[in-house]
Amino acid sequence: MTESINAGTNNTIVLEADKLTKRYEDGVLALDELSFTIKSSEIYAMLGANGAGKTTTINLFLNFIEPTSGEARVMGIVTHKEPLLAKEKLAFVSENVMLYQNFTAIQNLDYFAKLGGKKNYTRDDYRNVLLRVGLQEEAHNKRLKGFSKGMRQKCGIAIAILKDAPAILLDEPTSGLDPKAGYEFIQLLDNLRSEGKSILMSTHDIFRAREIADTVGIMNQGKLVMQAGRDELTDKDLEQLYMKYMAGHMEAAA
Amino acid sequence: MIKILIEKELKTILLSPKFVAVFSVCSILILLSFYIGIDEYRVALKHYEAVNAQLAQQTREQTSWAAVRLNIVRHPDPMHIFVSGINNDIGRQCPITRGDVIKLYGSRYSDQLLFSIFRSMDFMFIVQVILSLFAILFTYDSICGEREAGTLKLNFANPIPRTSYIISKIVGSWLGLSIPLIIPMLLGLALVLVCRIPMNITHWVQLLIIIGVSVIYFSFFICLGVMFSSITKAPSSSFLYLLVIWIGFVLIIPRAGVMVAGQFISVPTPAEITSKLTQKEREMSEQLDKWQNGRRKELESALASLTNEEQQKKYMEMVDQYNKDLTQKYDELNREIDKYYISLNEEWRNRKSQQETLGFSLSRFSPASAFQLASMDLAGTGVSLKTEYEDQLQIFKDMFNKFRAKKEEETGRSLFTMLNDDKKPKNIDTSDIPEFRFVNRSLSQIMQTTIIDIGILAFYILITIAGTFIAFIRYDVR
Ligand SMILES: Nc1ncnc2c1ncn2[C@@H]1O[C@H](COP(=O)(O)OP(=O)(O)OP(=O)(O)O)[C@@H](O)[C@H]1O
Ligand SMILES: [Mg+2]
Repeated sequence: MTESINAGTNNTIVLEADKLTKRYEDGVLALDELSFTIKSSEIYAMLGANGAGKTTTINLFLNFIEPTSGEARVMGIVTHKEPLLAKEKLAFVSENVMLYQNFTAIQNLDYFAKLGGKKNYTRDDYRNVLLRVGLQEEAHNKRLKGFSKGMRQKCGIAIAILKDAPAILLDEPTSGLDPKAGYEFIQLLDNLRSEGKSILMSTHDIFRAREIADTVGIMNQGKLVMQAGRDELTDKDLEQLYMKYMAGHMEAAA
Repeated sequence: MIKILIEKELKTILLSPKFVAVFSVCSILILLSFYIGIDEYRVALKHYEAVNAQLAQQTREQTSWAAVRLNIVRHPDPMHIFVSGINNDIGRQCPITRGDVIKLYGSRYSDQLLFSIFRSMDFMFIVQVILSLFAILFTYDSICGEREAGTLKLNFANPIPRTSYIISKIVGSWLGLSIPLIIPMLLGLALVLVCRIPMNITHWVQLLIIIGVSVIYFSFFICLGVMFSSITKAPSSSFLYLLVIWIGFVLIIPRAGVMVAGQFISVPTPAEITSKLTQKEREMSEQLDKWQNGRRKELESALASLTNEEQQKKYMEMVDQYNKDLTQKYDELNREIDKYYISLNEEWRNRKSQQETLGFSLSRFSPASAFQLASMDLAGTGVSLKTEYEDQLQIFKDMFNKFRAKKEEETGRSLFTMLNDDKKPKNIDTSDIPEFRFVNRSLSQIMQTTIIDIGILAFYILITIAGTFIAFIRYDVR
């Protein structure tokens, strides 16, 4: 895995949160001047309790919501100013991937690939990418109706891969995957990183985060309370760190 | 981009179990309505021919024009197959007798009450009630359903302009629902051709316009469905709102409009008119009595003071004058009664047309009644059918009575022809007897009112499309 970190030599900044702040209409301050950068060939794992603001961050990058202040940028493009341009550079896997239930896996892939501007894929391409994410061949032409959560998640990841965008946003991608699929997924992320992708994922899985991420950020109540690179983390016990920061903030809040 | 989106929209509709259900129900109902309509048309035609044949037979056997009794039957029109309107409610037959008023009798619903309970299920009814409901069923969740399913988020993770998305939603749903309308329609038209229903060019043009108005009508409900699906977050609430609006538009406003018009503008009943007329007659006769009494007193006092011849002569002159004045007064009062009767009648007609205008204007707030009025006008089965039929019968009656008078002059007026030389009486010659043929309003006349209804429907569509755009631009796709 060490060589893949070094694979992306042109370490340009792809994803960037700049004092990103979001206050919802009901007054909840979900993000409070959040700032981070993710370079190409870098995996950034966001950790944090429920309600910490992880999904909000991802939604701001996708312009599903407008920031109260600050900016989210994708390759320098401010997402809320030029959302269509920014979305060309983003692939997204949602927390619970839901696709068109009456379409087969291949039909779903075909539709979303075309939406992402990729019109020249063949059936073989779809087959290969589904095999790559670990969906058995007999499921390729079945309707999504009968798919398990993990199978849908795999299709979602396949769609993100097909879009071939420089940045990939993943919201709790491993939730619902069985241990084997989880392991395969980590391999896949590693692959994508070596292709130069910049990956932002939110997760509750501390161990996977430590295993794969180049940078880990811990969020609490909309703030980044800790950020550590891979090298620093090898020395520390991430779980203890996580607990410490959570506890610290609980006390601070109390 | 739009092409991909529309393709997807069509595919999701065609692959959904909803589509199969709607398509089969539509096919069965539309074809059935055509079949039943054609059958009814044939029955009506047989009835028409039977009555006419019997009448012709009777007339030919008459030996005197005075005994001729005409009984007019309205010829069935092929357009009634598609929109029955008031066709079944008004009498088809009308006896043409000397001096009698025009009185229609023998409506289908009065002959066969059973059918009047649920009314007929013609093509217009299917579009107005069933297809509009299906349009809502198709579209109530088109945006909020995707939001709830989570696919909307995934779509908008891609560079799609919202306007493209909403346009393809509307167009896709529209195409998807056109299929269950158009395929059975074409089959139905084929049925009309196969059954050799005598449709002329005007009929076909009218039918095509009816189909066009139907398409505009259900387009409105598709737009309405998409609009509510992009106003609400949950499909269940969208469906609830749409159902309430559908009930209002299809079931309540059309009836309420007419009922409100009935409350605001009262039209006198025939009994009221008669009693008013009697009242007037009584007033007039009282007035006459008063006048007579006054004059009689004058005469009596003149008579009492009669002394000489000169006065007697003067008295006779007074009596003469009185008699003259009496006739004059009598005529005057009668004229007044006639005038009053005419004014009552005129008022009745005015009130009736005011009521109709108000009722229809109020009803037209509902696209369902705009559609119904337009298609009834196009098929010639609107409310004007009755008055037009009566007016044409009146003209025919006058013409026929003149014709008969001429014939009677030629052949002798008596009801019983003289039996001369033990010969059998000669039958009358009916070869040039005038025939009644009901003439429908011309297409350009029809279009004058229909264009308003089409305009109303188009206006509603524009409003819903604008509403959809405004709602969806700000829609939270999460
Ligand atoms: N639409 C909304 N309106 C108001 N408040 C919201 C909305 N969405 C999220 N929030 C609030 O914003 C805060 C951050 O929520 P967010 O969904 O980003 O958390 P998260 O880190 O993704 O949590 P989880 O781990 O449970 O997914 C929470 O307090 C939440 O209640
Ligand atoms: Mg979340």
